[in-house]
Amino acid sequence: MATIQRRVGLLFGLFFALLLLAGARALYLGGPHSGALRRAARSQQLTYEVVPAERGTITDRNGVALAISEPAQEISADPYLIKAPLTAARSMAPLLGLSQAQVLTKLSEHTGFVYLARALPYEAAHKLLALKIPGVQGAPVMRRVYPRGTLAAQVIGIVGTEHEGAGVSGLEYSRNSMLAGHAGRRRVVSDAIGQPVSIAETQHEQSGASISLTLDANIQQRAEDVLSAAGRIFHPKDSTAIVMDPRTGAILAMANWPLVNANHPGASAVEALQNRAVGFNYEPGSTFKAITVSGALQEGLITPNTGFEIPDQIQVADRTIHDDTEHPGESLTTSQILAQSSNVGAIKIGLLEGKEKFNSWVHRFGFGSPTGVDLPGDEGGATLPLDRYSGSSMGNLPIGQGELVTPIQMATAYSAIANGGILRPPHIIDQVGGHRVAEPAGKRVISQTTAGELRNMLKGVLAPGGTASEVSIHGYELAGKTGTASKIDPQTGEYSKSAYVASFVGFAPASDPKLLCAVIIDEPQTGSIYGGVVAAPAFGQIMEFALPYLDIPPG
Amino acid sequence: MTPPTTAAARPTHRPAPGSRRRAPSRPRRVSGPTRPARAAAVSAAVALPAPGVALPRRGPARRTARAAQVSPGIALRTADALRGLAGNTVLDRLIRGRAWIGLLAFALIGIVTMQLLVLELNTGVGRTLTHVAQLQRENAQLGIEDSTYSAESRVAPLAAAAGMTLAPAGTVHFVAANRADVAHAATALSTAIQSPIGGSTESGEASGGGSESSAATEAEVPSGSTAASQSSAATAEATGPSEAGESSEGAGASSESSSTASPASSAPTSSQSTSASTPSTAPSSVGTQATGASAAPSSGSAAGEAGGEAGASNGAAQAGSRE
Repeated sequence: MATIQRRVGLLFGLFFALLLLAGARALYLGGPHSGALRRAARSQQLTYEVVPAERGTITDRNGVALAISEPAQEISADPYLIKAPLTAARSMAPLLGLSQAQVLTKLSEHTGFVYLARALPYEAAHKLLALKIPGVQGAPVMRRVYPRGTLAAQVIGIVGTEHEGAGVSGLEYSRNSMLAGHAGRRRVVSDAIGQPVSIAETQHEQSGASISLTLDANIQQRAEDVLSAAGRIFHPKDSTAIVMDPRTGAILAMANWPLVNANHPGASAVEALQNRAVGFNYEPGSTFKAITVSGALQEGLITPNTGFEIPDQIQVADRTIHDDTEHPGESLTTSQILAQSSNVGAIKIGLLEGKEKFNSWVHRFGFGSPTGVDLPGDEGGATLPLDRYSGSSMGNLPIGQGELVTPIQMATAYSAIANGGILRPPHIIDQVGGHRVAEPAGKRVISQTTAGELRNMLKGVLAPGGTASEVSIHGYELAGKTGTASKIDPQTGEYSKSAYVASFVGFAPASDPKLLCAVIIDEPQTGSIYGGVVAAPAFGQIMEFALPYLDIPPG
Repeated sequence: MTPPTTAAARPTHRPAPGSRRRAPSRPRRVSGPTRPARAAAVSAAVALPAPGVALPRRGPARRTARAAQVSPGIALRTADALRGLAGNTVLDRLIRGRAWIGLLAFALIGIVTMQLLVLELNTGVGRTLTHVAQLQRENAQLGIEDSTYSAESRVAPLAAAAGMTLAPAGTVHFVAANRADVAHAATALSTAIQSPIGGSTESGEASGGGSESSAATEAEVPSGSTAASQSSAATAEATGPSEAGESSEGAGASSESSSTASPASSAPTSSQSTSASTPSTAPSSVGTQATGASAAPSSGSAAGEAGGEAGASNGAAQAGSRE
């Protein structure tokens, strides 16, 4: 009996000791060790996921996606945690699109964090993470894709990798706040095997607004193809082309050459990323003569048939200005002056107008200030202030020398001539988030009569005897103006004998213009330097495609 | 000497061991703070401090006082409620019987089931989110593919391989609408539908071009109009080429894809020039305008105008394709 009691006592004592031990352990875990346990649970079971915002799509006027976002993963690694860098590099390199050496270099860095890929396509990232290499992790991001590659790359721009893929150029930059959206945040509690048992959105993800442009991908493609062809023939420094609807100011194409692949912008020179259609300041040359003539016409100083005695050269103050080719003294009408692009004739008209009125007309047509186009980098050009006109200023300003303009300024000014006299700020954004953007209001700068007279006169440029007589589109009557301007040589400060800007601005059908195109080719190196030879054919090729494409009847 | 009252109240004899202890005649005193003490605490809380003593912060002091007032009340009320529950006869009978086992089992199973359902729901949410992400990816991928596949640089060579060429700008011609078009359209509408729309597309392709414009036109024009135009085109051949000159805008559309060998190609029409085998992208909308005017009353010249449309193309079916 005593033995049984002793055994019972021993068992009781044993269990009591175990109970005490368990209690002590529970106190330890719940007390001093509780913080560490809580942290461990939080890291293993509770995660906060960032839900990246889908960046708004950029489409052309027909809904063709020009820039689109797709889910991707940002792959990073902790080199200290990777036990076998060589093996890891070998398995990851093909998925990362890098060489083994490149991956190995990254994995061998003496740091606790290294990026392996900033926006790896989801499929590749999924395969890579499935390798379950310790120290390699992924974070969801959005990847910007430009399906058409080079198409309108300078206009649309690109996004960077920093700051949640914010735009760094073009519309991606200027409309970043619309396109970006807001990233969301999600609280996920997982069970022991990693299955989510509770998901709660702590911050709602908001996608960016889509932007629909007035651009037409097909016309844009044609414009870029034509510029590329011109690039192969004339080897210019760069070139740009703008196609607009002069009635609304809607930009249908804005091409820049050299082309840039927006998916691989690093492969191109930094200068190539610039949208030269709005940012290139150049002396317009003879294309500016239409502005000179329009002012004089509107002032009632001349008519299309006003005759001028045109010598081979003209003296203005201390400067002697020649016509492009030597010729005996001749009598030309205003129309002929424009058609043959006579420097002497344009200067005579400018002198007739006077510097005050001329200066006024320059500004009325929008030169000297940005056009207001909804694109970044809209330059204003440079015009000579009236109080700084010298005695010889009226010897070069009326022929487009001594002032700087941008291609979009020229296109806008010619649009006013084409549409009957309304200067309308051009625009490229048609809709934002499905809502149509109001077209900017225009202002009348010249009367319909003056605009009509100018259109008639500009037909002569493409007619026999004109400076662009070789350009024609069967069935359509074209109007426009060539320009060939010397560039300032930065070494000498004088006009260069070898660097020119060849340009052509024109529209069709001449009697009722529905399409306008400006082509500016900077420093053609081979072949020719003249606007009528270098730029006008490019105009013709673009218009030849665009006119029937847009169902514009011949006329 | 008078003994104290407590001593007097105390029982004089102890119960014998083994005998039952009697319940006291009075309830025992409940331990805890007495009312006067609580009152003193409250009064202390509102007492003014001595000069020079820093005042305690108001908020916590108030809260403490309020807690002192409220928590004993709640505790007492809870205790009373529990006491009442313990004395509840229904509960008492339930617990004394075996039904509570089933009730408890049901409750426990319910709780576990609910937990499982919640877990399943959360897993479902996770799956849905994964699915959403997958759809988002697919959507983006499809958008990219759509844009890539519709690129002119890809389509143009394929079209060229299929024998299609882009119509040179000058070969695309338009004609002006006139009053007679209205009558023609009305006549066309009154004619029975003879062929489905799909047939017109095929004929458009067969005519050697203009498939793009045909398709576009068909998309824009109501089916009745299309069929009517086809039937009127048949009339046109019989009418002869002289009337084909008075063509409608729709006739211009048909002229673009017409062959030089077409029956009415020799018609004295200034507006309908022919461009053999050249696909047109332009005139679809113009053709639509012509048919859109079909609600107006008809006149005798209607068939002849229809002839303008039909005559410029390779026959009735082709004219139909243009409309």
